[in-house]
Amino acid sequence: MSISRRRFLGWLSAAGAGTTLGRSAHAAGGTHFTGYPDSLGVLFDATRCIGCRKCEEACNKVNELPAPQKPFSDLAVLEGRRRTDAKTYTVVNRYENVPGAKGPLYRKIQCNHCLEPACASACFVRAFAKNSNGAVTYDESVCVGCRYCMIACPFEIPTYEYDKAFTPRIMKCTFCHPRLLKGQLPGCVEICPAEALTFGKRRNLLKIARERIELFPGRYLDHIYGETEMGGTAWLTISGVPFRELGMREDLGTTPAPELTKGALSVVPVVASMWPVLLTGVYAISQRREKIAREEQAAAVAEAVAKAQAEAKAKHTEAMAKAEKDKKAAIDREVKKALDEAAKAKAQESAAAAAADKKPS
Amino acid sequence: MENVIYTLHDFMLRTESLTYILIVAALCGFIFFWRFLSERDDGRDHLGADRPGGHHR
Amino acid sequence: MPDRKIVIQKPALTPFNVVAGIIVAVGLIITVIRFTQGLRATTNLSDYNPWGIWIGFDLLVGVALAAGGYVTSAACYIFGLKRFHSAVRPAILTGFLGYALVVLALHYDVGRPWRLPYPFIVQQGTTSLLFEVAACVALYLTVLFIEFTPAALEWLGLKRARSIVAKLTLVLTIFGVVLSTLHQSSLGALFLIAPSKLHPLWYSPYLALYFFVSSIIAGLSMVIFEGSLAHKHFHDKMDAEHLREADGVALGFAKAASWVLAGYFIIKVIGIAQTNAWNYLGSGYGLWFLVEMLGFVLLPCYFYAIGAREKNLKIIRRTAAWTVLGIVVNRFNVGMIAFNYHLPSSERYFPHWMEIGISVFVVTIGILAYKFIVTHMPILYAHPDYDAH
Ligand code: SF4
Ligand code: SF4
Ligand code: SF4
Repeated sequence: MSISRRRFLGWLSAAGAGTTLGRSAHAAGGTHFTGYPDSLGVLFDATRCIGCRKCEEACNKVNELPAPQKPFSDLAVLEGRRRTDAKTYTVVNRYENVPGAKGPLYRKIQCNHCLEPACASACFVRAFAKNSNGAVTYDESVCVGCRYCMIACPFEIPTYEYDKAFTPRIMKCTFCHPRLLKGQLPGCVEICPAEALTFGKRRNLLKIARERIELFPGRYLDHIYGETEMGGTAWLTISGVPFRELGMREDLGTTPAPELTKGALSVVPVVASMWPVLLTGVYAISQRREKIAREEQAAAVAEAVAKAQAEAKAKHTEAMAKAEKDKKAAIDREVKKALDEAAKAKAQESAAAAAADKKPS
Repeated sequence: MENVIYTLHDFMLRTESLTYILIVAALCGFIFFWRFLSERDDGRDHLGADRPGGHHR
Repeated sequence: MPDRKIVIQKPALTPFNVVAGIIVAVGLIITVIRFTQGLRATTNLSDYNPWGIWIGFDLLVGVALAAGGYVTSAACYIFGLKRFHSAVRPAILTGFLGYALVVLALHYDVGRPWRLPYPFIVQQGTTSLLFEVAACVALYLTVLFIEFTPAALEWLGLKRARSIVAKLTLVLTIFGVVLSTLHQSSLGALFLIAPSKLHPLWYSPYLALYFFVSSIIAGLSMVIFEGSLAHKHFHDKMDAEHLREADGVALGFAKAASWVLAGYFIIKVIGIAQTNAWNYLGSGYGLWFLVEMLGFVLLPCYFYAIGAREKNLKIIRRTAAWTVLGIVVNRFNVGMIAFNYHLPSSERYFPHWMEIGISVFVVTIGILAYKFIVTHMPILYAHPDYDAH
């Protein structure tokens, strides 16, 4: 995929192109990927490397990197342990007194051009591309400089131009991608005088490596480093001593880098869609509870008021009844009093009449 | 060659890009759907609408 | 109620002002060096150690400690715990300042800060967890800004704008919780891609969950911690509601924090069981891991519980400070101490004094901004002209 085409892949084209998947066995079900079938690669044979540093020199030249402080012919630098840095895409280290080895051993370090590059998986601007020829290339025109690719790379390959204030770049081996496109060999492979580096299609290199291991079982360990490490790499290594003796990590596992983050990434849409549903639900429930509490309170208040009113009314009626009764009693009393008085008066009258009847006679 | 996905990284690039678009669409959709869902309520539950008397301490 | 008129004060030469002034001056000088000479001149970063304290402290710790905003507003507005209402505004303010400073600090750390919007506008690296973190942090900073505006709008007296924002409270709160869940957890998930570099006691498929759960603890503890500081220094700015509710907030949050810490402890232990990392417990790193787990998880869990049971605010406040320190320890462990554990000590990272200088500078700016805002805007008191929202 060329850089311009990759750039062209915006949001929609990147997403929409996904609809074409599943057309071949490679993508069947979208679960198993085996990488580009025609991927190129390099086989590094640690039993052949003589530590001449010619590859370092060639790499420096073809990539137009700044000249080193000490010349490439100076083999004294092999005393120390070096790594790739912003001015060096590849280094060769010497390992002495390795058990089982007759003399010192050497190993070349450079980008392994992983089949599933951790650096590309980690970059949040897609500055890295895995090309169909196997090369993992970097596009400095978009790089923000977050250096997450450096965190991610299990082989500790990408380096950063910490010295530059305005245009710092990630620096790493390009597999001589521009040269490959022109049909040329990578600089380091071309110059190697010991044929420690074999260039070819990765699947052929695996065969070559296996043949060598079979032909010389005493010379090699039965393992091709990079066949499965981190999901496989385009650059492969075979050796006669355990790989850890050459400073290579044996605990990387076979899980390709994108697989490591897949789980976490797949939780993102779940949270983004289910959280609003759950939270709005919780909100609605708490609102409802509040509303019910409000209503219950209102109802309780109303009831209390009604009860008070009813009580007041009852008291009122009672009072009224009592008043009525009192009134009636008063009337009765009055009537009785009047009747009594009337009777008394009548009696007096009749008594007076009787007396009057007696007197005139 | 153009249409086949050879690497898990490429595959995820495509699925994840689509996922992000779907997430944005879903979040916008939720707002409208919730409003539709609670429009006829007594005015306390829908987002962004007036909540007379509601939402106080 | 404080007067809203701008009072011109002479900058007093209090010890605080002198120290802050020196820090800011030094910070500005380092800033100039950083942006003219580059990262090499100001940091101890290397090809082995691409991330230092500007990520380990400013990003990881900064984001975790700014979690109070989403925790408090969720408790109040979503879970309907209205008795925490007075704690929302201060928490939103610290959240907003926290995230603003995180973004500011990132400008120092990344190589080409002017390209920070590139992941959104130029090319989207959607397979990267950093993409997710960047998107969520950018969006959440916006959400916090909008959530914070009512205070500023009240201060400025813009009633109409303020009432529009107030109506968005619920949407913003839910959105804030979603975004926070995502990026708090993704900050942990950033390290999932490097199983060979992070020590097995800290590397776990649960890293994302750990970061999310501990961010809740960080948020709760920060609200208590910050509340106690605010009480000491801005007591006169607090209204009756704030003062009445403050103790209840501390008690409620302490209980919650204790409970979440208990859950966090359990999932950490289960994580060890899942990755079968028991045998590492005997090593030096194992000892340090136990210090983190027992000293900074179990211990605060216990003391929060005691504080909440006995309604002892003194214990709660001290525990809050201790827990905040525990969060710092945890993020340092994942980001720096247990990261690159396989390298020889000569290749390990130790911050340059200028890196520390910038981190201190950034925190100082945060404190100064907080001070300015709480003394001028209605944060610790409700504005008399406005209803609560
Ligand atoms: S070795 Fe590192 S830099 Fe090279 S492709 Fe693999 S992950 Fe990327
Ligand atoms: S430093 Fe550049 S290339 Fe590396 S992850 Fe960041 S943006 Fe991508
Ligand atoms: S492939 Fe090219 S860039 Fe890579 S190490 Fe060899 S010469 Fe250098």
